Amino acid sequence: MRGGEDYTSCVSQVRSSAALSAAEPSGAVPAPPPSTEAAFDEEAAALVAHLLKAIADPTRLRLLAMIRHASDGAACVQDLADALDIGQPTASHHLKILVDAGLLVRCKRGKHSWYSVQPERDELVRGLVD
Amino acid sequence: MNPQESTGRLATGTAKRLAGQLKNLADPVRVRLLSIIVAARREGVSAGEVAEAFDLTKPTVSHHLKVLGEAGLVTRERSGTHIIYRPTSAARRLHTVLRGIPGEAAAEREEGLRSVLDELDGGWRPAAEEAGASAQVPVERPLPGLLDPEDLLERVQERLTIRFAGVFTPETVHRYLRDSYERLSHSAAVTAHLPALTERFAAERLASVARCEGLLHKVVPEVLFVCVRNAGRSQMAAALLRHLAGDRVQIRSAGSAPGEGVDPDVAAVMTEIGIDLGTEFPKPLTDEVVHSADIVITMGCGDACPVYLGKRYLDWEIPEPLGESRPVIRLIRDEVDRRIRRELLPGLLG
Repeated sequence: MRGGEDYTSCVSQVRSSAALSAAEPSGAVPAPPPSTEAAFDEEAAALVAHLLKAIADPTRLRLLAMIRHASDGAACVQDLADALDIGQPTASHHLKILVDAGLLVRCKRGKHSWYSVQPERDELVRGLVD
Repeated sequence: MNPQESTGRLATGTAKRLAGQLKNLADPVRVRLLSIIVAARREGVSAGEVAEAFDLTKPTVSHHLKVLGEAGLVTRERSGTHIIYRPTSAARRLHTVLRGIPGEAAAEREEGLRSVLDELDGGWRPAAEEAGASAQVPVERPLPGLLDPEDLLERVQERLTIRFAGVFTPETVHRYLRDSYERLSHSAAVTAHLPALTERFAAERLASVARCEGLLHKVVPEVLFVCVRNAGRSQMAAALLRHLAGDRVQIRSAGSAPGEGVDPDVAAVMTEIGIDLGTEFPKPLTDEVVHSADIVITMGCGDACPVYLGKRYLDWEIPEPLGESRPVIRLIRDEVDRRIRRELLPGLLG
């Protein structure tokens, strides 16, 4: 994991620079600015913000939690709407936002659409709603 | 795991709190700020330090830090003349979760490529170069929702509405489309092709009605798409236009150095939007085909295409899909579709 190492080394770098500045008497040269290396680059931050925007809604968070814990990892609109005590159109609306953001996958089984967490986003969803 | 988790219930209160927190964080600048503050840990950072690192003004940074503070993600404390910001434990937990996102290469790359494609109008930079660095693993993921018949029918409806614009209202198109779908679903053996069959069937019915009522022009313009291999770009363009314009336009495609067959990945991303390239094949660029065309659209074939007087020539900078991953080919497909709708259809269908 290259990213992990970068991150760790950067944390220690920031820590040591902060430690240095703490040791300096006040009024001395200001500490170097915090490193931005560990931060998400602009593109990554845009992606994270984009995903968060889609997730940041109580109903959508509850839908994600339900779907993640559904017996085979997938649930259909009616079951979700019933479980959350919301109307089916409301559930569909929120599910569409999650699908469009790439957080859920929709597939057709028989007459109904089933929703499951996009495998790539499983870790994120687990981290947020568990 | 507590019982609440095992049923997947997220308490309404918890969901509300978390949603509020995430909403406050859902901004690229604040995501980066959070990352920096979490990295700085206990020592904390001042707004000035962050502003310098970000090339933002101090008031801007202060504003964003305030929003993060409202979300309970940073704490502020006065230290001498400075205000020092530190991450809360909630911020650290959240940051750990979010850190995993960009590592998941596919989406990141797709985002990156999208921005590249957005710049297409200003000239295309080679896709391979952009994607190459981060793309060791070809990542394939189903395009969410596109294989749903309802979604396909929606796209068909949209295309037929454009094709019969000025002849039939969208409602009439909708009625014929739904009726055709109903009829076919009773008889069709292979339901996988149902939306595609429906499109053809509905289009033929609408065309017959239009002809009977004298609503369709008898003389149709001829459009020629030319690329290098006639295996990707020009095939996509021809198929897209065919589905948009139907028999109101005569469509041909050709390549300056035709390939062996239509690229399977190209065919696959077209299937996703309900268009079958099944029987298409690469055709060499000949003089006659250029001669008979009214509009010639070239895509990356250089000056291999002969120029004759009295024709309209368009040169589109569309990247070569060969060797690209499907997410990229989808973007190329959508770009071709966009240009057809924007630059070609208005002149063709009036």
